[in-house]
Amino acid sequence: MLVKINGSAVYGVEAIPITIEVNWMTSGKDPSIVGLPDNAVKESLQRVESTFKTNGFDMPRTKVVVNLAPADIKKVEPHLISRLALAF
Amino acid sequence: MGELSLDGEIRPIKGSLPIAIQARKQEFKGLIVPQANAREAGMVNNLNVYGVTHIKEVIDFFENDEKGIDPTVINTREEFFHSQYDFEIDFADVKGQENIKRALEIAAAGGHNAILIGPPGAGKTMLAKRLPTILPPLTLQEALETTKIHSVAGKLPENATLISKRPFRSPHHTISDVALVGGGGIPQPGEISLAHNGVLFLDELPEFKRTVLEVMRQPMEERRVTISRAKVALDFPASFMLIASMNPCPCGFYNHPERECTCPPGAVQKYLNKISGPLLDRIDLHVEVTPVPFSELSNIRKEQNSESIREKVIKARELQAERYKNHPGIYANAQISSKMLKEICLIDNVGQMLLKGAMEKLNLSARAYDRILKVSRTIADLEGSENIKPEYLAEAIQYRSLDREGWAS
Repeated sequence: MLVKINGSAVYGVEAIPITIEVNWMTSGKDPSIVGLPDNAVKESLQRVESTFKTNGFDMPRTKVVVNLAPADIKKVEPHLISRLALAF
Repeated sequence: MGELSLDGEIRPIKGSLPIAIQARKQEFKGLIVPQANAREAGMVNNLNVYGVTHIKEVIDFFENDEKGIDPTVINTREEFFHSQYDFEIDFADVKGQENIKRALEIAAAGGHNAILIGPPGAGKTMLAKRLPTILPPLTLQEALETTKIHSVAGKLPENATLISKRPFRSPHHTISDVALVGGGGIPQPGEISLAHNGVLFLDELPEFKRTVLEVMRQPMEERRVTISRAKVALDFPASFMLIASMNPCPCGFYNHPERECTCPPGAVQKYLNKISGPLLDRIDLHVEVTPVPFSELSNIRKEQNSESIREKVIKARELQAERYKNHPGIYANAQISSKMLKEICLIDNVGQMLLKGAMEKLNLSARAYDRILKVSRTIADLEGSENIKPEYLAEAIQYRSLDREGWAS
């Protein structure tokens, strides 16, 4: 299942739009984020997992790929979005 | 947008205003931000901004066909004009010092940089802090620019909206280069950008590290700073008025009317040399501050208040805006180039004679000449006069004390 969401990152005093794509596979394990994520963004997968648990949702147990486009450096913003994907 | 906590709460983020502006540009329908940032992002018109505190609200919101949360609407104009003149300090608090107030009035009217030189306790800092109260109010556009920078730097208080007053930044003299002009791995704006459209006050100027003062030179000319790093090159606006203060010598009492300076020979010169010529070149007004005598301190005569000075400043700025309307990027006398100077700052024969005499007698340097013309133009604008009269020149000449060769030698 593939979901696309709009996000944004701040670049200097301007904001640039970012598309966040989340896709989950039918096989595999360990989620991954591609598109040059900053460390803070990489860690966010674990926050998302924890939030899912505390709020009674299930994290898919197969491989999840998150893509941030365009491939720049992003910071904290995109988390919210990746778990929105599940709400759909 | 939003930073997620482990239990699903959503925490505030930096830079929600630029994000909201961008979202409107791209014609997005709405934007969901943390509650604490909602007012900041809500300033943008034609965009539904929803403030949320928990991730469940967001999920419910989307499952209920985008209903259930009311968009945050801010009447930007009303809030902006409401708090524009809300100052806690006023020039009327300062007793005496009429000549300094006058000099700051000129600085505010022409956007000139100024340096205040005087012994400790003379009131330099007190005067400089009151400068924003006489500056013309921010336009909506300027306020938006300034707010954007503060938003990116994460310097906006919670639930803040537009910054309605000109910023006043006074960094401590231990500041590093990067903190002043901006920088870092992911470049962040520095003090000069945070002072955009406002005042940067450097107290005790010679105590700053030399490199720190030198990095400021280029941004002062360009009114913006470009930070280039291996991965990114970013532009931050940095259009500020520099107000500096310093003691005339290490002990502080050189030229003091009553006390003796105890500095050894050469020390005064050495102290002044800490400020480079090119930097001094960019400072139009040198103002000597002397301590207020007791008789004036205890005086209960009412002083001129900020409001009346501000009215004069605004009038002078209007004259300048009219004059420079065909010159993009220039809005005040301080910014004109030496080529324009010859067209705009015409002086008559009497004025020429006066200037010649003064330059010879006081041993003024060539760089002082341009500055004197610019400052006298501003004084003429303040008086509402078309021409630069000799008396305006005379007043401008006395604001060049550091160029005088007799100083500290």
